Amino acid sequence: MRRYLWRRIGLGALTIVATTMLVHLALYLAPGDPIGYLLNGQPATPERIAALRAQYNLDEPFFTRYVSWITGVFQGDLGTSAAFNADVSTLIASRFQTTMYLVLISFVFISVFGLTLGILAGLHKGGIDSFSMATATILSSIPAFVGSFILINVFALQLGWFPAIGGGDGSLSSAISHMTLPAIALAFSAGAFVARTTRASIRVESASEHVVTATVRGIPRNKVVSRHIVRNALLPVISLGGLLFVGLIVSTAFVEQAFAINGIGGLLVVAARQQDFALVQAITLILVISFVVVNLAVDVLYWILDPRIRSEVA
Amino acid sequence: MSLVEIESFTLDVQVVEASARVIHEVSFKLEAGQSIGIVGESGSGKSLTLRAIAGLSPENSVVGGKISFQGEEVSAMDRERLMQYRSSQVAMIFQDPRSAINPVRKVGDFLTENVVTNLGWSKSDAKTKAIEVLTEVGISNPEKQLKAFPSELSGGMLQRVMIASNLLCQPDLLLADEPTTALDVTTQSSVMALIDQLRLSRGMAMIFVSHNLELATAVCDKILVMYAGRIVELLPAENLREKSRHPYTRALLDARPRLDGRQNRLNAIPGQPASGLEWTQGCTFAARCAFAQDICRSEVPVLRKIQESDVACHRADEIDWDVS
Amino acid sequence: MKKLVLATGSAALLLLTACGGAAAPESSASGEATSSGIELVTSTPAGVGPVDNVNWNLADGEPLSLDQNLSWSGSQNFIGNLMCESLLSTTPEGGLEPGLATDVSYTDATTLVVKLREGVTFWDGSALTADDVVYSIDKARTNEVSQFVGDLAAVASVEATDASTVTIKLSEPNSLIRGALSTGAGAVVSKASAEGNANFALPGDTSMVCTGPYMLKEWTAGSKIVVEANPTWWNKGDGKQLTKQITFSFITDPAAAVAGYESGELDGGFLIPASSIKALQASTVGTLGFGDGSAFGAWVPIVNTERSMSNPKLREALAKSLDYANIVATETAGAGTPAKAVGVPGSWGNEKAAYQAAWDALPDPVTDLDAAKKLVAESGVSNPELVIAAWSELPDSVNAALVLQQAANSVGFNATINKIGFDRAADLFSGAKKEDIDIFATTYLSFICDPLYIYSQIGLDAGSANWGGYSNAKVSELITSALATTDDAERAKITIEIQSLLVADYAWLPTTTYPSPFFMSNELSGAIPSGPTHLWYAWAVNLGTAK
Ligand SMILES: Nc1ncnc2c1ncn2[C@@H]1O[C@H](COP(=O)(O)OP(=O)(O)O)[C@@H](O)[C@H]1O
Ligand SMILES: [Mg+2]
Repeated sequence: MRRYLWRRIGLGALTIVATTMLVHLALYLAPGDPIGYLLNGQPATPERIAALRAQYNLDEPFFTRYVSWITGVFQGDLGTSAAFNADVSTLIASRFQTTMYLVLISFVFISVFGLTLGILAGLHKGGIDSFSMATATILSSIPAFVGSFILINVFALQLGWFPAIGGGDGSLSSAISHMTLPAIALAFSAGAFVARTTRASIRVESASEHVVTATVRGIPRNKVVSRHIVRNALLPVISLGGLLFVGLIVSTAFVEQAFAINGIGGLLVVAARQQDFALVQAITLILVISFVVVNLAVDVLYWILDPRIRSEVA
Repeated sequence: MSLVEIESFTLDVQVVEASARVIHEVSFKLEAGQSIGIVGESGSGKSLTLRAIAGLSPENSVVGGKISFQGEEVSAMDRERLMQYRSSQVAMIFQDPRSAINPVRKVGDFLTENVVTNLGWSKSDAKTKAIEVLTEVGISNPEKQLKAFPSELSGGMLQRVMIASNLLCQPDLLLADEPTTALDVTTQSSVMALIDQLRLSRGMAMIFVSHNLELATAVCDKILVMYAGRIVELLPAENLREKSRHPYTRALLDARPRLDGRQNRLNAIPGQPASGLEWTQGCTFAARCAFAQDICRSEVPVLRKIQESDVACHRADEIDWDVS
Repeated sequence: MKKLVLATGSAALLLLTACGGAAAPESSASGEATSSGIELVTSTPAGVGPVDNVNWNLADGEPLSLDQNLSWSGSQNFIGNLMCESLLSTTPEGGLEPGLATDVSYTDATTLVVKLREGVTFWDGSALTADDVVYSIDKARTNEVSQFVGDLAAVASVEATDASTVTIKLSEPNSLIRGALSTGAGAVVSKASAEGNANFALPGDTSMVCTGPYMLKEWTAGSKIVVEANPTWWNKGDGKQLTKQITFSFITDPAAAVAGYESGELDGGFLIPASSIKALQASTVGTLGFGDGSAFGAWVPIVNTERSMSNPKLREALAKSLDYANIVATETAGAGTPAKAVGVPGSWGNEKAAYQAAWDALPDPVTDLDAAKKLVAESGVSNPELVIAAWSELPDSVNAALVLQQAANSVGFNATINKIGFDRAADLFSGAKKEDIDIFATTYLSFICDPLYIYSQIGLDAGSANWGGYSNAKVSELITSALATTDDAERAKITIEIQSLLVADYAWLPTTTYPSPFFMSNELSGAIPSGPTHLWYAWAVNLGTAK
């Protein structure tokens, strides 16, 4: 286990370095001059332009820039955002918490919606299956902004059950009330994806021979379903978790905009559009680290849940 | 009353919206403590027949005829009775223990699931008995193995676990579907010997599906040869080698696996094996049969008694097999 | 440097201000009704009851600083003016009133004397001194990124004569300096809180100290800014500071902001984007209004080249090809009025009668395609080329360019569109020769209620908004003399002359006035939504319950 873990951690570190370097390179090679955004469209003297260029390291070659960035990161300095005129760590800290709340609450909805629909559809053929899959397809085909619009209008404006906008004051209870609608909006397409995957996995598992064994040994259907079909079928779904998680953070952008939540997703969009090197890098770093950490967690979970992995590694 | 009585068993499966018959008029009897071997090429309907006895048929399929166990019709059992029947009266051993045992649950859980869930044993009782039967099937260090996961055991060991699990509930009938095919040659015979010995010592009846004729004759009282969803010959095991009459049976004997185990599929008969799905006017084997005549292609042969065998062949009494 | 209406964020947002028309002080409406019947507002009736907290949205995003000298967005002025008062105040009617100074007067053409109000203290209890004023004005005119460097360019020195007097020496006469001291250029911060403070007024920082009615309580970078009433404000009195706390949010997404207004999570806001206006006009929880203002839209022709726009006849032809009614409808939701000149009524602060008479005498902007075609024919250039610049990243800008292209082509131009990126901003908004662009759109405004302000910027050769390279000796001479005239009536006479010359020359092609849409809950009243007052004056000081 320990060796396995170390190997995973090593791989994770490599992923982090490679990704940040790639993003750095992409920004470096991107067309357009970030100086335009730094000036915010204002007339400026050549001296001011030169000063800004120096301040944001815009003239240095790629590798120097990357090295000075990564050195800063190790010293806990993520740099200064050009677009926001503020310390990157300050900008990110509160937004990260907000987005985490959003993603985690969304995760709950995705699991509940996705797994319920997927398991129902997988276990029952015919009406329930068609209904569940149609529901999933319809939900996933609603664009996030339309979904947000409908949710806001019905549950915030008409019924008044939830706040229409904002991310709350940082406490868990206000996060839950503020994030419920955006989390649902965010959960639609991922939930449908989980539903489809779960359904397929349940189908495969239902047809597997060990389920026949259990059946032919007279194990009641409900126990066959819970012990042998669902439990096994969830394993491949769990492995999606890592990918889904990071995908969710990225796709928060739309939902955060629609619900006026100040989170990482929206920040990344602005940062990328304004070629805000420091900010894009920092957010990328966070995304990659989350990806690595979540995948590590999934691996460990797998290790615990699926004995096959253990004997394979051993 | 025989232990198992199968009368005119037919099975229709759903194939692309239409229903098609894969098992045709299968009838045979099995007495308590007796063993029958079902042999035939793959696709001939052995597994479907075997599973039907446990009340297990593919989804959307229609079972015809009568399958009774101790005089009770299996298809008439209600859910509860069926559970009880499965959990305590029949047991099944599958071809590949690795896929037939849930890989994410411990060996101990697998072993005791039936008796704890269905027969109401206490966990500790079940565990004690499980250790006993594991020892009986020749697994050393049984306590440790109870905590192991299937992936930590070899195929032979797993099949022993499978066998052990069936000993716990003392069934009257053992359904074994190619229990050694997936094992490597060296363990095949020891596992088979184990099954045979345990069956005899407990007086269990057995239906043993195999395409290894040699093995089947060794452990069975009767041999039932199936081709394309039909019984083509049913005869005492000791008669198989010398007195079998159906050209298909003879062909199987000629094509039996080489002893080095390299070729363990029955593929040496010329032509493609037919499935019960294929509709023919006459004998389904006629297309591959060296002795086929016009009548073979126009009329379906029925089982008829020739000496000690039941044979479904128009020419069974004409052909003189030279078995020396 | 002037505030440009160039959005770098997700939506093009406009800073809209007005000095107000000729309305009576007690009336909230400016009396100007537009063709679509929308009544423009200069102020709303003062609130009557206390409110614990008001949530106010500023749709152009979070400010990058609360220092009013730095112009990144309107939001910093809307928040900044509640906290840091200026020496003079711009009233909603455009007049100048005493602020932190009891008096600011020209003692001669190049000297202003500022008399400070006695007994004013900063939030931290320290007294307002002449030193703080000198520091603040110097900061506004010398900081290279200050937006007031141009407005204060004539200032040669600022000195404290005594503890409550500051003397400003000019290098050349400039009659607009007094007005400038009512804007953020005259906003006073505590020297002690600002000097040497690297984080001063930056996101998250709350170390800024001023004298105004609201104090900076909290700034959660990326989320909100909270200000609370200053209990020791020198100007407090009945009906003022009824609102104990204002929480500013910066929701740029139109749909989200509308949802916020509708659900009551937002009590009001400025800079309502055009796309939300219809939805909010239908609201039952609040009212969408339009503040009168000095803002306008215009096409800026590049005239210092050999190309088509150097020809006044072609500029006139283009002006006659514009569909004014359509521009008013699409760009200002029908709230604007076709603009006869860039010194729109909302930019008048004094001598309103004279300006009104001159305005009435100006020709109405009308679409006259036949006349335009004739002018193109007379220009001697057949099928003249016209390259229209559009911000590639702003769909609205591209749309406006397409509309102009169609209009120009219909009268005989050969118009094309050049989509440019924001990296061209520095070049575009300077007098530099631009060979690949003939015309571009801008939305602009006067910071000061005096039309001379805008005319000096576009009429002087070195005018800070003379982006098209316009040059006219007569105009320059008149502007120089107006700048040297401190008498309002006299100055208005010259300014009106300048106006008629610039209009006749088609130096810029104004299209419409740009009233500022705002939204306020029906429970509230008292906000001042008209500019430039709400940019420089504590616009929320009368905000309270409506009943
Ligand atoms: N679930 C099913 N649905 C439809 N056809 C099936 C199903 N299972 C088996 N069959 C068909 O029935 C025939 C006999 O299958 P089976 O009994 O498994 O053969 P074998 O003799 O190899 O065990 C085959 O032709 C197969 O295609
Ligand atoms: Mg089979």
